[in-house]
Amino acid sequence: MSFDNNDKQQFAYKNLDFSVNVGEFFCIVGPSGCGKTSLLRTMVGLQPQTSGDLVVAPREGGQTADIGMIFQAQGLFPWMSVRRNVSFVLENNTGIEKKTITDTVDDFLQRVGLSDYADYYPHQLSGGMKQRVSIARSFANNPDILLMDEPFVFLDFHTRLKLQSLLLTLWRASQKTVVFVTHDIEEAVLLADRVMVMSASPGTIKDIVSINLSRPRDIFKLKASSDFGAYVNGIMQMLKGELDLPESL
Amino acid sequence: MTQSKNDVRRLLIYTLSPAAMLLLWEMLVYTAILDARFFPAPSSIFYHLLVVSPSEGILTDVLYSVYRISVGYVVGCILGVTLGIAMGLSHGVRLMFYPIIIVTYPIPKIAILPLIMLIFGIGELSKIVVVAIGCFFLVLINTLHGVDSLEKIYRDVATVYKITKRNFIFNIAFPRALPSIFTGLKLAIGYSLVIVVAAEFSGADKGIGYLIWQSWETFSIKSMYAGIFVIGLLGFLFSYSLDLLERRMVPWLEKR
Repeated sequence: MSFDNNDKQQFAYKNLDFSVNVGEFFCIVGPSGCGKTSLLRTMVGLQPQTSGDLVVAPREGGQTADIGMIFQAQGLFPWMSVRRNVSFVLENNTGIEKKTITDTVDDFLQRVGLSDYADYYPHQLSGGMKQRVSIARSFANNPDILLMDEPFVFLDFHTRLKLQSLLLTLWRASQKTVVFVTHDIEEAVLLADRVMVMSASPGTIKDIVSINLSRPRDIFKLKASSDFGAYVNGIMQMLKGELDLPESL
Repeated sequence: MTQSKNDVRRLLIYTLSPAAMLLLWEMLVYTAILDARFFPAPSSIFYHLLVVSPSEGILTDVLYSVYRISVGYVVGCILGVTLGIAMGLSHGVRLMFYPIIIVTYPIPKIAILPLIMLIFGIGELSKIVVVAIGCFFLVLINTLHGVDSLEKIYRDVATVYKITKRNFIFNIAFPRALPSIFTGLKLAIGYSLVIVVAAEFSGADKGIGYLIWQSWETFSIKSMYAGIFVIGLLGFLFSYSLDLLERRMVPWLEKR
């Protein structure tokens, strides 16, 4: 996948040329305004692409690959129960057999730990639980590629750790290609196989860092390790110039 | 179980303010502050309503009015919701109908009753039509507002998950508009009472409006009040039923 998008409204990219491997967990970090979110929205077709190439490799059978997305603000339908929120999108997916939907929904709600909340409405859930529903919904729909737009940004520290760990478990089990946008460098290093570091105006690639940390990853152990610290620090140094801070505080 | 218990409590609280008003009225009559010839005590009006009015055929009048309201209301509301959703979802439909609606909406519906009677005759149909037109606008405008307030994120989710057009209309746009639709339905039910009574003042020989007008002309003050009370009771009944229905159909709204 490579492209050079130029959205006339706000985001112009320069030399934005990268590709994501099948089954890879790919993170994009960068300061606000570098166009991370627009990039994802363009990939999934929510925003028009004015120039450049965006190529998504087809499936083995030659069909177009299906792209899913997890949003910052979840986008759960308030008038549907937790269970209905998941089953509704599956019913609209022509690639999913109707008979299997109930079992799939139950399975994924159980995996994200929300079996007991299946009949609740979104307004009765906490932010973390809502995001779990949203994660269950997108994984249950079984796309080839999953885009995630800062899904944990509104969550508190503990909930975020739990969900990061949950996301890694689901990802390993499903082997999906994930493109994950965040401005949290630690989060990117914890999750990713590779981290693409962007800078703003124009949106461009500073570097793509391979994170050679073994899997499966234990988030809590990893956070304490020196390798982890080194990766975070390295990326932090790259983004230092973008922060526009006075030399000493 | 707890739900129906809540309903009973709600109904009791609902009755408080009308009851307080009637009590005050009753006391003002007993202390002769109000002239009982023009403002008979509520207790005597209720007595009249339950004992005298039935023999004067009030039930027929009520049934006629309720019939006109029900048919007009249902037809007007269905048309209002349908066109409201169509206008909310399709730019073309909106452009086509919006001008005619903003031109015709402010015309008092009762002002076109003669015209409607010219077209639909002086029978039941013209009263039903005028009620339907009144309900139509209120429901249409509120439905349109409901569909318009559909947040962008839901459109995004629908695009990403390739939600079919049909499902988008019935499972996303409609439920999102439902709270707003109910606002329209509640406004319309009150308004349809206003319209039907006004229509019956002049162009009917049955109905609550006819009863009130007739009683005024013959100076049957208590019969007139009986008619007015029935309208109040109907309004209460209709609104309360709609409230119940709303809480059943929109259980997902955060409790206010």
